[in-house]
Amino acid sequence: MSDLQTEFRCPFEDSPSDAPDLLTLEGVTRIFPGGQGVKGVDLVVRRGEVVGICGASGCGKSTLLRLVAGREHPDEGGIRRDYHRLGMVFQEPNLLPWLTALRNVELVLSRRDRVRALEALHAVGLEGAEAQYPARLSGGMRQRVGIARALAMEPDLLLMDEPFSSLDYFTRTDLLELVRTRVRALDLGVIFVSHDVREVAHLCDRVLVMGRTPGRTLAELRNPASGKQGRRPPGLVARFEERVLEAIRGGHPSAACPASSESCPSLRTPPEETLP
Amino acid sequence: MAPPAAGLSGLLLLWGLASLQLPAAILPTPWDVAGRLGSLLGEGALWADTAVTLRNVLLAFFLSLLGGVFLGLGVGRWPALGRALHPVVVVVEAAPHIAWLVLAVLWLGIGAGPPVLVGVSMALPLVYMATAHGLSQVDQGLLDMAHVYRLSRWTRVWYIFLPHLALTLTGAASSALSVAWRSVIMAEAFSSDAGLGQSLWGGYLYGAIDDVYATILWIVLLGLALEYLLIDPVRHRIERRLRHE
Repeated sequence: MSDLQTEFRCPFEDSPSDAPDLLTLEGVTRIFPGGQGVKGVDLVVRRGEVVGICGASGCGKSTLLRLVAGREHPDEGGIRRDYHRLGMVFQEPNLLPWLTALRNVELVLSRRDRVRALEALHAVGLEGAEAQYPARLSGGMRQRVGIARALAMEPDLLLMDEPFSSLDYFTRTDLLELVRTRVRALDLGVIFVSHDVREVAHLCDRVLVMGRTPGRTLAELRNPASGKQGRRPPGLVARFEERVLEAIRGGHPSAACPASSESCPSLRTPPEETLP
Repeated sequence: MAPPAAGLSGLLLLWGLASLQLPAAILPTPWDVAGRLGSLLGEGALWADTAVTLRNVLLAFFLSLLGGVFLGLGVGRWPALGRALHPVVVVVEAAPHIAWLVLAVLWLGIGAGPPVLVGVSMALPLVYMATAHGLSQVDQGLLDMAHVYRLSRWTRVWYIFLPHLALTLTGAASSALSVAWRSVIMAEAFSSDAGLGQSLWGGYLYGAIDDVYATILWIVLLGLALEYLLIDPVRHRIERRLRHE
């Protein structure tokens, strides 16, 4: 082995962690009529890490979340759930229009814990909006209620399904920072699904890049900015963003990486198989 | 002028103009009919018939509401029941009022039974279909949310299904009341010894054309009152409470 290869440590390669596993997917396959779905997906989510799932439309990102949430069942493979409480932030906030922001949060708490619901709303910057109905709130505020609802129940694992896709740039940036801060503070495991590479690079510690029809893992990349305290260095984030984009386009995740695509542990392209 | 008032005024104007061209035995003037209605109400006979009809209509309406919602909820829970009920609903809807009326008289005899049964047979399918359709239209996102957060069955029914159904049912209830109102009065004409339908038909048989028109006017006024004083306020109250837009 050359010196270069022994000294080089790929910044995008996953590193072992002592944190307990919250979720393990092993060879999970769910194919719908027409060939959409996911095939042979492996994934481990540990406490305290944010795992991004990224890819073009139709690559099975949302199907994967529905499988984790129990709304779909795998045709093949297994899902091991080692968490107690699951929270989810949906693409649309999915608030009950006939309940106030406060009551929407209370609804998911055991014994309708009003104090905790208020704390959760205040933590996402919704002081004064507790008594408002969803129709009276802006899109960003509605999504904040959805985030407050998910965090109020103190989940071990949080699922986020393209939560900012319908929001404007400024609201999206604000909420992204809010989620990053709250998630770090609460030490949750998070699966963050998005087709926006910038969001993923900004928020996630690790990213599963998926290809489509059916959705399958193209690459699994570690964010070199992961673990940095405070605001992530923009240079590192931008570099990681590039790598994720390259992986989505089917290229090698790192032009600087001396490893061949066959041996690179961060680039796992499953062999072509005939669909059943 | 508010649109409903403008529509009514236009109708009265047309009636007035037509009545000036036709003999009173065919079409009396609105003011003659209004005068006769005043007399009938003053004499008291019309009030007794009105009470009978209102009782029959409200009984048919609430039975339809109860039965339709119950069946609709059953279909929402067990879709196979919906497929089994489909031909029955088609048969019930296809059968004309008069067929139900004849059967009702055969089964229940003359009295309040046939009008109520005919009213239920016409109004219940409307409520049932609105309930089943409403349940199938419940926002999938809310159901996903309920699943992820493991909301109890009771919480789902109370906070998701019932409010959603209430919005769907206010429209259906208005149609059901209107249908029950018309079919009960029609059935009373031929199968009852009391009620506005019987009074109407009796007036025609005895050639009391003013009485016929006065009763029709009274039926129309009561129908409007039911819609605007009972259904509309309830609908607005429910929508205000649930929509918040």
